[in-house]
Amino acid sequence: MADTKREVFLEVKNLRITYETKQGKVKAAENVSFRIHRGEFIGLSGESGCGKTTTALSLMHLLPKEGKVEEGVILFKGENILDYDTKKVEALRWRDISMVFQGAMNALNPVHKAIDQMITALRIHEDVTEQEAKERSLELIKSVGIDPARATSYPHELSGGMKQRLMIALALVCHPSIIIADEPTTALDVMVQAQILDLFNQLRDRTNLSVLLITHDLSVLAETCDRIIIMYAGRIVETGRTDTIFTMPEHPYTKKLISSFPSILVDKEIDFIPGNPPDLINPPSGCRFNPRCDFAVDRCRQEVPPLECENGHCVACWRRHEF
Amino acid sequence: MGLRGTLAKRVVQAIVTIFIALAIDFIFFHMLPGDPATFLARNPNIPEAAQEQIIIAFGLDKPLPEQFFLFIVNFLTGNFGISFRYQTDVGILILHRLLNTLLLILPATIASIAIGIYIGKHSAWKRGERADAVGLIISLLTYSIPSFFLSMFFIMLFAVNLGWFPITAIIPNIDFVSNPLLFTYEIVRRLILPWGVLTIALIGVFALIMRNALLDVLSEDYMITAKAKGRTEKDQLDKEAVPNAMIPVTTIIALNLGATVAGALQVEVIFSYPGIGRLLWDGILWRDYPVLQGTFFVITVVMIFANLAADFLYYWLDPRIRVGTEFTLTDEKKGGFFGWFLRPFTYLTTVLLCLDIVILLLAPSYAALFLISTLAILVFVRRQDILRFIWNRAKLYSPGNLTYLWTNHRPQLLIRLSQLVLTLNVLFVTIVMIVALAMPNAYGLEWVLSWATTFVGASVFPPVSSLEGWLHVLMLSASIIAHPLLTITSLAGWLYGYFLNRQVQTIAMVRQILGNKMGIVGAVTVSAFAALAIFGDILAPYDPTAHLTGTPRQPPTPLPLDQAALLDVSLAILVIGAVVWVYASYRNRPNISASIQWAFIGAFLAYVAILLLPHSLARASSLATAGAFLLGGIGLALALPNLRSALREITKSALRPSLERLIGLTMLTLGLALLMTTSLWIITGNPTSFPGFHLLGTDQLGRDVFSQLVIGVRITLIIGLVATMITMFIGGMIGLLAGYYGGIADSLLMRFTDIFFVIPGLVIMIILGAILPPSVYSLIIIIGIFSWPSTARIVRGQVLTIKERDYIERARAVGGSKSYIMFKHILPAVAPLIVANTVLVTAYAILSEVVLDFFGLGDPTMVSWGTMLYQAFGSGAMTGNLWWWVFPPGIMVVLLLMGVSMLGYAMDEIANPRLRRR
Repeated sequence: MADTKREVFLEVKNLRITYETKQGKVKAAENVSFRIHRGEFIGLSGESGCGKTTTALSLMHLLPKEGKVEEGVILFKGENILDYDTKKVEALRWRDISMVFQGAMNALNPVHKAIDQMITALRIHEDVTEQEAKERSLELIKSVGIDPARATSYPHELSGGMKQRLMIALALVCHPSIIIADEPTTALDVMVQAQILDLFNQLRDRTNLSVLLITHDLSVLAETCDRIIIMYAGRIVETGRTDTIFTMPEHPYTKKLISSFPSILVDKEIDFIPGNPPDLINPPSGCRFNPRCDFAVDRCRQEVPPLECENGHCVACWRRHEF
Repeated sequence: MGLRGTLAKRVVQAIVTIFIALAIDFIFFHMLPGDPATFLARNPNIPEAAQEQIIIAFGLDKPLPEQFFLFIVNFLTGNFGISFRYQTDVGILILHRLLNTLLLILPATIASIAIGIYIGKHSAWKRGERADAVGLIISLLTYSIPSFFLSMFFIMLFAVNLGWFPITAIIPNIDFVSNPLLFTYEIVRRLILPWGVLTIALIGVFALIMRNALLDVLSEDYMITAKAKGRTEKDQLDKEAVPNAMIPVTTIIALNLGATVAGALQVEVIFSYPGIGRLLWDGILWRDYPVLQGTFFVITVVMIFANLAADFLYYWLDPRIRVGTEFTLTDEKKGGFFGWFLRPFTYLTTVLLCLDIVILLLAPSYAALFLISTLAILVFVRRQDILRFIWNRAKLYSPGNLTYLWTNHRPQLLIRLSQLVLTLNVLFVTIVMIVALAMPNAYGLEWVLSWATTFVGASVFPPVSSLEGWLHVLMLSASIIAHPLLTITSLAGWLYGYFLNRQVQTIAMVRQILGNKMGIVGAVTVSAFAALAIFGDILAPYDPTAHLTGTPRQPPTPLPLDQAALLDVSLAILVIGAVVWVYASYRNRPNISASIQWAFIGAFLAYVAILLLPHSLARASSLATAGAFLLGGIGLALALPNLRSALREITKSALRPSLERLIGLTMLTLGLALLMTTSLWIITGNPTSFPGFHLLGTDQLGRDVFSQLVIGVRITLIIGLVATMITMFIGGMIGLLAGYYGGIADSLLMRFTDIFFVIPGLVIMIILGAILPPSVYSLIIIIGIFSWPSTARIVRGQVLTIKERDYIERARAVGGSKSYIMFKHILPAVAPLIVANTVLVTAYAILSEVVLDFFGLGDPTMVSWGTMLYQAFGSGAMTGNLWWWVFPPGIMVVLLLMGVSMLGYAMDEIANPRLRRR
């Protein structure tokens, strides 16, 4: 599915992001590079605190005050958006890149009606009449499977699943090129999760939309994504097509991650990764996974392994071919 | 319950509140000594026939319940009686004044809400930046200025000295219909100053409310959505955040409208503006009780309606309530606290106590016997529980437990022993006092007084007694264990042990406060005032109450040339030092190490202590001597351990880049030391070497203003602290119980605090102050009793969230009793919040004290800042332009309040989980 000849929407190169804290600089993301093509669904996964959300937020200039992009480029349709000034960033947000937040319970403003929030978002970016904005919003609300009669409700009157679908409708309202979905299914129960995933799959079939899906739920990735990026401690450790990653993972971390995921069908032994994610203020030298890796050798402790690609399957491990 | 139901409930609550206000009104004025008929009707100013009429109208000759009923009927029909002074109907009098007051309040309140919200909005948006600091300082400053003082200041500046506006704000005697333009012009010209004062005085409250509410909203997820949507910064703030913040802000503003009324009262008094406040002031001056009663009722009713209006506005603003759906503020569970009402033991107790009361009324001589037998029966019935309780306590002191504590946990041992001593001590004090009070001839009173005065260190316990025989021996031996010194020692031991136990937490909190710039400024200011109180004896050159120490109304004596020069030099050194320091910061020079800074500070404190010690000894002031030793001890403790490492670092070449800072610090310290030396020389030396020297002049009786200023800090601090302790105890307990038990207890307690919120505290305090005899104790009780509702609210809210945490569930599952969970798990968790709130309550208590003093309700024998201003205002100091008498006490009040509220705000920022940064 991943056709590399298709148009590249977004390219991230050598991104390095740090957070200034009282204890020191937290190296939240380092040397992060990836591409998103038109119509492609990319999954970004890893343990909590490995830099997934930080990377995503930086794409929209949404990092909190303490966060800073130290180096790197984010090319959106050929332009480096890190150089944009406030005006241009405000114009970019939502019109070109929009976002679906984790826990949509609180992501909608409780004092505005659902449809009004969509209308404002639309009218910030496009010069349309109120009437037209309303019609377009209603159409979208219908298409995410919500009764248009509920459009004038306040957020507190809607259920969690409805709010999340509304959030997706809101994200789609300006026809953006890319949607970043940050844990869109995490706080929802399984049935609602299924509805949301179904919605994403419909979007993929019907539009050219690209999606960057952030989740630590591997089953969600397997269900929806074309390609997967696995991050560990602020670095990308492995990327590749979904089926490759799931059937032939090469990085020890990815292997552990997949085998630690429980399955309802197969009665397999659940594996786990001993230890904790490293302290990102003073990360371990060499490969950051080395203290928890079963296969670490001296080289892993001294030199940082580069992300090397073979047939679109990139792995950052010195001993990639040894096992 | 839908919207309509909620609003109906509010209306019912408002009506209930009106009745409660009526009841309070009735009770207050029946607390007056003597028969109400005597003071209400038998007034020499009123003709005989009118007196009869009042007695009949109010049924003053009828029994109490009937009087109460008549009182309610009269008040609800607007019949408030006849004023003693004006001899007219109080209702009509109040109606006229009320309109005038509204003319003053409405524009000022609207303006201050608008400005306050603007400042608060920008402070919150730019949190931690310069704009926030400026906004906070403006808010805290306006919050700290008592409006009566600001009025006096404005009058002296703009009316007396500059002559721009008239001095008073009396409504001009011009017909509006014939000359509307001139009328309006005259009104505006006279009202501009009062409007301005009231607006400024209220800005702070509203700005702080808005800032806190907005900080809450800004951390919500939907604010990120708003930013991601591409909203401009201005729209994020105005269209997304502010509508949400306005929901809580309307209620809080409504609850704080009491501040508006309190401010207006003071402004009206100073400007002689014929409003409700002036009426109240005159009522107090003339002890015109019908007017006071009527005014209190009308103010309360107006406040209740204002709150009701705010409630309606609240529901209109918040869609979560406006649009259907179940919405309850708290989960009101059944049972809980009041469950024990249903137990047989409670019935038994109630029946026995009722019997006791009947006996007390019928045959008082047997009452004591019956009370004791009641107690005995109750103890017998619960003997097992009591024995188990004592056994459980006693087990703590078993040798095994004690040796374990000695080896593992010594602070806990200290706490245990102190608790044991304290328990025995309190037990013996109770026994001794009961026995003493049972003796004839005021014997008991003597013992009680002796105990209390010894407790504060003013006499010796036990008193020289007239008792003889074995009882005397028994009392004397009991009084050894009941001695107040033992109480103090055990309390101190307990507190010290508690501090040792939580040393890490306490030090961490102190660190955080010192890390906050506002916290440092606040802490230093408060410490300076505490030092003023301790060293007052040597810093006050004259006896502050001695008349004619100079000519009356004598302006400040100019300083001799050499002293003035020395003062200038020290100030110049200070300024240069500060400039060098700021320059170093500007050039981003590295900061010098903490040990050097502490060494400097310690050395400075030790120097000041050495400076003060001879004076303290010369004046034989034990308080100042102890203070000097304490200060010296602290100074040395800070300086010595740091001195060695400081010396080592000074010689190192690594210090080179921060050389400017070192120079700046040295100059600052030297300048301060010189300033202290010179000031002390001026203060203590001049009155003896230059007869008639008065640093800040004298008042109308020739008393030294500076000495009054120094001594006045004591009463303010004592009242502030003691009243705060009462407030924190009542508020903390009520909040804890209401939050933990929930259910009916919670609803009742919260309705009760609602009422106290609606009825303006200061008005109630002023009226109660006018009824009670003027004394320090009255002030403490009045302030303590009426400032607790906000504390109770805050504590309750925090308890509600904490009790749902898993670890409380765990403690319950392990079988912890309710009191155990409450005091061992919940109380420590809310403690930091309570501590931070304490400081803010102290500020409120101090402000109340100053205002009550200013209304002439303070202890006339005590020197205090409020009383000084009261006397200055009463003897025409404003029109006489006696600035040296008016400004210093006011400035002291503002500085102290500023310091306290800055400290409190910094602590709140640290302790309040709602304000912590995400």
